[in-house]
Amino acid sequence: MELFDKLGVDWRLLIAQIINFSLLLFILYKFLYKPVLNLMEKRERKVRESLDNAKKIEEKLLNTEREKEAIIKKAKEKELNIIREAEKKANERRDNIIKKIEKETGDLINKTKEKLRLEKKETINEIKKEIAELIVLSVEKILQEKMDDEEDKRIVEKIVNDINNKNL
Amino acid sequence: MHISISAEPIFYLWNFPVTNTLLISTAIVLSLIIFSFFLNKRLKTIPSGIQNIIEYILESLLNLVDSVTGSREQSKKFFPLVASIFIFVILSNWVEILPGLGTIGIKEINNGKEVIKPFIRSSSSDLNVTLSIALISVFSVQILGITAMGIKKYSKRFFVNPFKKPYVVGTFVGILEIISELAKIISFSFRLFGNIFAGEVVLIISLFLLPYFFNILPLPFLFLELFVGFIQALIFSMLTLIFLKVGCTEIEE
Repeated sequence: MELFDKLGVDWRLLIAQIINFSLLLFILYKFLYKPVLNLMEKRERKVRESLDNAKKIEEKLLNTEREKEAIIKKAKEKELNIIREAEKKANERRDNIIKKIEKETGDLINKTKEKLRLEKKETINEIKKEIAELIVLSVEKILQEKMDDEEDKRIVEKIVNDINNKNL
Repeated sequence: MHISISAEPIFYLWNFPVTNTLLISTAIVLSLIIFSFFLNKRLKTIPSGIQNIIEYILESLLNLVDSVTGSREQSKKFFPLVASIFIFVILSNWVEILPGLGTIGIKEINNGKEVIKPFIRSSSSDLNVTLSIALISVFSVQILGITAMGIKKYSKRFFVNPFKKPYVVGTFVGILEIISELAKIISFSFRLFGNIFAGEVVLIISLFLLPYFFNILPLPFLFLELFVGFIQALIFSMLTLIFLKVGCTEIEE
């Protein structure tokens, strides 16, 4: 203890210094460390939160953009499909119509031809008949006196037959 | 020129010696308290000016504490003591840089010799100051250790039953632990006291080595003392921190 005395250690001073330092410790803790550290922590939390939020928003934006693009792509594809189908349908329809018209026209032509042929035949027959009658008449006139009715009839028939046989 | 190991009493208050180191350390404490009040009133979420500096200092100290404890929760428990020790010790170390060290004071005739009782004396160069901080530091280690794991578990560190597993060896180690706690107080106080007192002696002597304006000798020593003051404060606080960490860690059996 003599050593401590020589070094100037005095219990009263020691206690005074301990009180001094304890006071400092207490006051600094209460008024400096606690509020400052709390403040720093709060700020850190806030910054982290806002950074997180910003990240989330960015992600959301990216997602929305991606979705939008997907939708647009899908719509375009659909549109293209519709157009293609419509084109196909239109083509089919056109072809059908053309075919139908062609067929109808063909039929009409055929029918007309047939009709014309029949008419022609009929006309020819009628003309033949008339010519035959004419000939009969003229021949009758020429041979009026020389032949009786029976003879006359026979000759006419014969002539008609001949004509028919020759021409047809 | 006279250099005394013990601090010189400037005046007496009812037989209580008010030494220069007590005055200086009280001044440091008071200015720190006033400063913290001042800062506390002007604390803002968005920092500016002096608050930036304080936040920077406190944050780097907290990170330092974190690197030792490894957990923010424990750091917050240790931080006030460690930071206060660092701030107080570094400021009281740097008092010796002030001009007027050892030269401005009360002249007194002592044993027929002229003696100056200087007003400015680094408070760390008084064993009372260093011993008091060392006592606080070591006692805080004990108290925090007890609160961390309970008095029963904590006392196992020092008092080991000699009839159980490691037998007498364990008991002996326990006794050594007690001695080492006492040694911590001594080493804490004498390390800081020795360093700063020696620095002060060197500074005072270098002042008187060359006459008047030719004396550039104190300049390198001033820088040296600036560095030593910082290092000693760091050592004191870091050792406290490590002892705290060790004290709060349970011993594996």
